[in-house]
Amino acid sequence: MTPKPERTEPPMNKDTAESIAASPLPTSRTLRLRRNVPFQLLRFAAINLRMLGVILRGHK
Amino acid sequence: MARVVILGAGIAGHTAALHLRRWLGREHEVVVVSPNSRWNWIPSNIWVGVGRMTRSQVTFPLAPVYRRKGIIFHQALATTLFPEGTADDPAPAVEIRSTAPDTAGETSRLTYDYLVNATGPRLNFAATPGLGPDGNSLSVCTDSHAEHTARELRAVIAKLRAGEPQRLVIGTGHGTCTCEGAAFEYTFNVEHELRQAGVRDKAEVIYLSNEYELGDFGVGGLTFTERGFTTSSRTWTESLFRERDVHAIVRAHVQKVEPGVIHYEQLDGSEHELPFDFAMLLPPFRGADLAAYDRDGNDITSRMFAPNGFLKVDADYTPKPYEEWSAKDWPSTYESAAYPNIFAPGIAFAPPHAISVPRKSPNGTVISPAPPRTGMPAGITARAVASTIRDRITQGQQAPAHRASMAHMGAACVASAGTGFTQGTAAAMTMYPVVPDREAFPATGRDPRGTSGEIGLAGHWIKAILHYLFLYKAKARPLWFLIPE
Ligand SMILES: Cc1cc2nc3c(=O)[nH]c(=O)nc-3n(C[C@H](O)[C@H](O)[C@H](O)COP(=O)(O)OP(=O)(O)OC[C@H]3O[C@@H](n4cnc5c(N)ncnc54)[C@H](O)[C@@H]3O)c2cc1C
Repeated sequence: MTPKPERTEPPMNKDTAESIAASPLPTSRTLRLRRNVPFQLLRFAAINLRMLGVILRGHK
Repeated sequence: MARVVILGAGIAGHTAALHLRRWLGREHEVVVVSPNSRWNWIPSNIWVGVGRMTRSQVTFPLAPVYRRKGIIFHQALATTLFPEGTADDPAPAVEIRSTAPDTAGETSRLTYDYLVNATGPRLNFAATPGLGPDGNSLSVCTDSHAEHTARELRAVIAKLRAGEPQRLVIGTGHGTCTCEGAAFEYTFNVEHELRQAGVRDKAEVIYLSNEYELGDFGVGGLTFTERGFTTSSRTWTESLFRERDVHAIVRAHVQKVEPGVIHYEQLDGSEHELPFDFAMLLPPFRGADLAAYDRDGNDITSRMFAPNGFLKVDADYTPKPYEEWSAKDWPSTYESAAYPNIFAPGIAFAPPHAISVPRKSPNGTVISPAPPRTGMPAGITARAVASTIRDRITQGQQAPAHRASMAHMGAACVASAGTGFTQGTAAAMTMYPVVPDREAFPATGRDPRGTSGEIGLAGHWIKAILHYLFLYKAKARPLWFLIPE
């Protein structure tokens, strides 16, 4: 087995790391809504309708 | 009497077999050849890979379903095509090698009137030295790989609990991989498990990908409208990486995987080493590498198949620069260019080109995703092929082919980002069409009304329901055919 090299800082893409750091961070309200069962039930219906539209378009 | 032979019992082959059996009279034979005795709902392998499902929850034995439906099943691997028959027998035939425990290794020939090559992808771990479960990294591509990976993940969590920091690298194991969506899903499912286990702070999670930027997913990224703004799958994906503190290395081609170290090259030509404690890296895909011979015994493999082993169908394979790629290049009937009674739905057909922008490093290494062909297009193209074969058997050879181009097909993709009835999340995305059509939709190639993305618990519920729905359908339970592909 090859000896494991010393753990170093991994060479992340600088531009990607900067872009991630500058991307929108969801607020705690958004995070709560993403887990809120009544709200998500509404979203469930909306997403299903949207998906059905796309699926029916593909089955034509 | 006509005989339809279907190679492969994955999403495409199994869909084609069930529909053909439903539509054709009993005087016609539907024959399936596939090496595994069990059917696998591959998308849920992600949850097997984090230990939230068992193999038996994502698979079931095929033989009883086929027996009940009147489909003939050979547990075998197709190896060679004789589309013009042989000097002794002019009937087109395929040679198969048994993988059933009692007859393993025995070869035989099946003649056919129609052949459906639905052999999907071959997991090409050999493309990268050291890649895969027989080498130094893990996989979730099959249910057995995923089960093994879940055990390794448990060991990593145990070390984290003991206070030992761990680096987990998840992504693509070659510059030409596809299926980035699956790597993305596994990354966030693992991250979710680490948090649930209370050990997230000691773990470093890195997503390593051949995509040019996050959110590309091999489809060149998506543009959609959210709260009155146009946004991109890139911004959206980066936001998730920020929220969950996952690091990213993009534009990477993995050159080799040594025990505990990934060696990779990036698009700028630089080379790097990345030490790891746990690495799940997807392999690139190839076709099944079937050989083909004409009646005189001449090798016609390169006439029928592209160099990557996928079957050439009704696509425009003329090499063209990216600027000239067109939605019209994509196939719609999946009929073999050489033999009109052979078809290749699902992943088995050779795509005319990628969807993402093609890119090479200064060393000439290709680092850009191959085009994904997910479950929904696999099912829809298989149904179209089955419809064509049905019509030609019942109405005659002149019956026109049914069409289902990925340039006129939408896709609904739900990428899991963690499981649990109240704690789960998933990114639910729709796009129309899958292959961008710049003539019909000049701005982005896709219809903004059909393209969307949303993160939340609802997406997870959909993903979980799809798991049960598609297993129900694949088991051909009552009214299975009402469930769309
Ligand atoms: C980990 C993972 C997660 C995924 N998640 C999603 C998802 O969430 N949503 C989604 O839409 N898609 C997902 N996909 C993609 C999806 O699994 C594929 O699009 C789909 O399986 C393709 O269907 P197919 O029938 O073309 O190939 P497969 O389903 O791979 O079937 C190919 C079949 O051919 C058989 N075969 C191979 N060689 C031979 C031979 N020589 N002779 C006979 N039989 C042969 C195989 O054993 C198999 O039964 C995922 C893929 C992976 C790997």
